Amino acid sequence: MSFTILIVDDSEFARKVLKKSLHSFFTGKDYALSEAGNGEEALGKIKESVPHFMFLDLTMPVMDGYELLEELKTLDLNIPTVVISADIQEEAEKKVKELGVLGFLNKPLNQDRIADLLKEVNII
Amino acid sequence: MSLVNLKLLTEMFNKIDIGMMLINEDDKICLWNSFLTRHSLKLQTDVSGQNLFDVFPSLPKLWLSMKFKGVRQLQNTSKVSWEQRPLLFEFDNGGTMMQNCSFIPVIDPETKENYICITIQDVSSHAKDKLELKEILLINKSLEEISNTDPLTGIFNRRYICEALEEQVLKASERNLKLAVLMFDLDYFKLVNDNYGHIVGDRVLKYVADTVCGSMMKNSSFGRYGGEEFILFFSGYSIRDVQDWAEKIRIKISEGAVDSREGDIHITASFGIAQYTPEIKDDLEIIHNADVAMYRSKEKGRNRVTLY
Amino acid sequence: MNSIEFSHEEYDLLTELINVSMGKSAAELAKLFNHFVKLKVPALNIESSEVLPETIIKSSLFGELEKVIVIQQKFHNDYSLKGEGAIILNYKTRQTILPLLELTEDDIGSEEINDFLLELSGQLISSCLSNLLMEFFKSPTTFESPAITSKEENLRQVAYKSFEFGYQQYGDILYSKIDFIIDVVNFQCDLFFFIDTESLSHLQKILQKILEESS
Repeated sequence: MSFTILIVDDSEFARKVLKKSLHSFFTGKDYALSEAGNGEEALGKIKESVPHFMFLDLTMPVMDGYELLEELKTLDLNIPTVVISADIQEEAEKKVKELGVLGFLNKPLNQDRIADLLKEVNII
Repeated sequence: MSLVNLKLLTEMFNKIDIGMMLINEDDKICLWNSFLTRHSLKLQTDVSGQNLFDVFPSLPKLWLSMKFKGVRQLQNTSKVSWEQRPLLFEFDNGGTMMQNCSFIPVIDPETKENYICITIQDVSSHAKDKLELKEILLINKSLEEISNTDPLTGIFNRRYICEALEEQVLKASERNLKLAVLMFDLDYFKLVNDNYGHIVGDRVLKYVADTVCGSMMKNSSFGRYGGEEFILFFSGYSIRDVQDWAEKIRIKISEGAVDSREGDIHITASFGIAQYTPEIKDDLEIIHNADVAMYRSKEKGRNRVTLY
Repeated sequence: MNSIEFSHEEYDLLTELINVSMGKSAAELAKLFNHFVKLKVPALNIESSEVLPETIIKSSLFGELEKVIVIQQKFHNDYSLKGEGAIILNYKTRQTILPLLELTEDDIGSEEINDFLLELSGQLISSCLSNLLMEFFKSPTTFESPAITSKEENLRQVAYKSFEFGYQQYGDILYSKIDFIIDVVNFQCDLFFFIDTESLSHLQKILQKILEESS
């Protein structure tokens, strides 16, 4: 079975940049990417099939990242998650860490930092 | 710099009749001139290395911190006039010193460290004169407010005509009456002012107002909206009637001239007309529509009448 | 009436770039207030300034007949960008900042509050923009000082009067609306950016370049 990754971000551009980076890390490996434009859409995809890993943006319309994390908590779904956000306040990082995320990356995305973080959490 | 040594520079720094200090990135005082010593009764050695907000506890900290942040980040000088804040820095020996203050970004050319130079100028006597003048101006202004006419052209002023229109819109909506608003703006008027001066410019405005006044229809009002923009409203007329009238006036304005030492000055205007409909809520909306139509006239090449 | 249209990808990229710069600005402001600052996803639109009044009324946090305070600040960057930022807030919001300034109800008429609002607006507008524009332009952007342009009128009056500056100067405009909230004190305001038609086409070229490079 391939390793499934869900990217949740309202910006297509941000998803595109992330996909490109992931592609370079995972070349030759068996993995599958899916995308969602907000928390609600993500929740639908997760209910269909729980991904192995998730990249999550915080500020999104309809349902934001915080709300999705809360919702997953009540559903008792524990998906290893890395938050990628433009919000660089320490408090934002603290808040999501309390909700159990593995890591926090700032936008704009830096390819090396994604790689470092993925190594840290033993994904690559 | 070979001609000037540090001692001489320091001497000047202390003789200047302006308070001057330098603070570093942590708001700590690094330099402090004699003007400040005289007024605060604190020596440079007393305050050196101290935080500015400890030395002047009455300073509005959050506001000023925000200002400093702007100065450091954008490297822009920021000014606070006495009108904005008469007494920013409170001095023990200063009496009530009205101040103009500047916050100037300074970067050390060698270390690249960020500083802010603060200057404090005593403007008490100037401020006092200005305050007296201000009182006179205030009286004048309140006189203007009770008046309904524009002093230059003699037609209604903006405040009055807008109030009258507001009433008309209300009436039109209650009794289903016809109402139209016309706005017009002189074309390239700025050039007239630039080329011939404001006195001639004023005469052009007067000429236009007089021309319109000479052809007014019944149940209409005319006012100056501001600058070179005029407004009229017509009660009980069809939009066609208003359009015809506007066309007539447009030609009349363009055919006449204002004489000046440099010869005759010709002027044209761009017109916009809006009709009242039940969806229109108030004077603001109908003026807006007439304005839009007027700017469409401008876009299409000026000197014409456009219906919204 | 639009003479310039952004593609879906261009809108998306610009929104994302604004989001990132807003994040930086929020962090800068949070440091200043010692409070968590929340900036909500901006709404971006290009439209003719003919419909600007309705747009402002529709998208504002405040009611049409509510008395509001408006602060405007112009900016420009050489010849490539011209526009202005406008902040709208109501009197309730003005009151919520009293504790931030360590003031009480008795100080409600204080000039200090207006000064503070001007500074805050200046910071909001310039920090958001300078973070954003740094990505686009090499030369620094010049900001004029912010001014309170209205404090006695309701949102409807303000919106219609804003048209007067809008149409004459901008034709088609890009407007972006951002909600700004300081946690704890519940400070809420609208932040609108307007840039003119010519700046829009400059901006579009830059966006297209970034998109090309990323594909």
